[in-house]
Amino acid sequence: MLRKSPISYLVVNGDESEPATFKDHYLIERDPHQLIEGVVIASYALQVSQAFIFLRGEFALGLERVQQAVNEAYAHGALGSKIFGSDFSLDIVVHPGAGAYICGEETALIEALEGKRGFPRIKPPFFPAVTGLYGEPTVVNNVETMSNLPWIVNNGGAAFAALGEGRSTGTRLFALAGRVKNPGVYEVEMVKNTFRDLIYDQQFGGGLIGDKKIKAFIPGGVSAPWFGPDLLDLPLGQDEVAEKGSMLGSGSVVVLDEDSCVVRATWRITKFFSRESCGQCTPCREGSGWIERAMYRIEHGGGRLEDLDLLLDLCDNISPGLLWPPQQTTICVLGPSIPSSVNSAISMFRNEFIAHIEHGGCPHD
Amino acid sequence: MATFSAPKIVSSRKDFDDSYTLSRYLETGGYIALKKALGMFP
Repeated sequence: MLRKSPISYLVVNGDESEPATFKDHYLIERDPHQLIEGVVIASYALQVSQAFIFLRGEFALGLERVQQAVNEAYAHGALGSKIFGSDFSLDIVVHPGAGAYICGEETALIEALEGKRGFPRIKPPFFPAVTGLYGEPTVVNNVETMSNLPWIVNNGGAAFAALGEGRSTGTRLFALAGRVKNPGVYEVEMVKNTFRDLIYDQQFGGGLIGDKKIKAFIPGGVSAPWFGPDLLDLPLGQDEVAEKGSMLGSGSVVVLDEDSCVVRATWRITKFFSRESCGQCTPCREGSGWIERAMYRIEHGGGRLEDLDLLLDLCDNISPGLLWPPQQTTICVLGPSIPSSVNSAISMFRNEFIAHIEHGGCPHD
Repeated sequence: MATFSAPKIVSSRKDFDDSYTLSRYLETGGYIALKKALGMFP
């Protein structure tokens, strides 16, 4: 389907809600004017007069600061009618979410903006640029993308493209979490640095707490398949990570050390997805609950050996073949996000699952 | 492999406690890009 008319709205997706993902949170709280300037620049390029910043409702301080920054931008002449004396005018509405992870999916976000329950829309049409907010063509982009724009305008697109390599140009923020000495948000040039740099270099993670060995890491948020220490030297690039069967995803890198319980970690991740499934699609709604309950009993002492096959079968029902990139039997990608950690953990650490079952609960307790 | 000298594109104000304020933003080059962009053909 072709776009029916020029873009009508710009929507910024600031509904960052995945566990251990907090890079946009940093930009929202710490540099709201940078975000707003990026939104105005993008709106000018698109020639839209109305933009929305949809922020996760739990970001109380972020909401306060972005709204204050919007008010200041209006007073400064950077927003509103005839911005800085030009013929361009723009209004920004800051819209708080209501606590649903699913609203990070752009069509669910649009539904929520329209005042409806945050259900992902059936595709096609695949892109809000065709049919978006109020049925009009809409560009949806995220906080970090918008925040890049002032620097790009000041320094030129070529300067941005000169950083990184291939399809992964520029820099990217990574939220480093888990068993590292210095968890936090770090801006890193794409491809030119590796996961080992991010986790171990003193400028970034500084290594693991207690100088323990790394057991595994999640390269792109809890929706992503896990990597083992053999892939620490993989460059931080989209294609490089995809070739190894995972993704940079939400920009969160989660580190598990040699003493971390992978069963507990997996149970907690599946509990999150089960809680956040919107319930539209049966494989996700029912499957996530089954998976969470099976993971719970393995971690807490009621596990059975046949649960491992049951878990993989449930995962296969949500994401047939357990392939990468994933297939899906659901409207949105929350579904195939659920099997990533389960399949990774069982594939990489089957013996730890068996130890839990034979021990009658978590041996780490 | 590692190149830590790349410019900080979105986190350049990380070390300022008041990085969220308009005054700090203006002192560190804020809204100059927007004025430049408004002079370009959209």
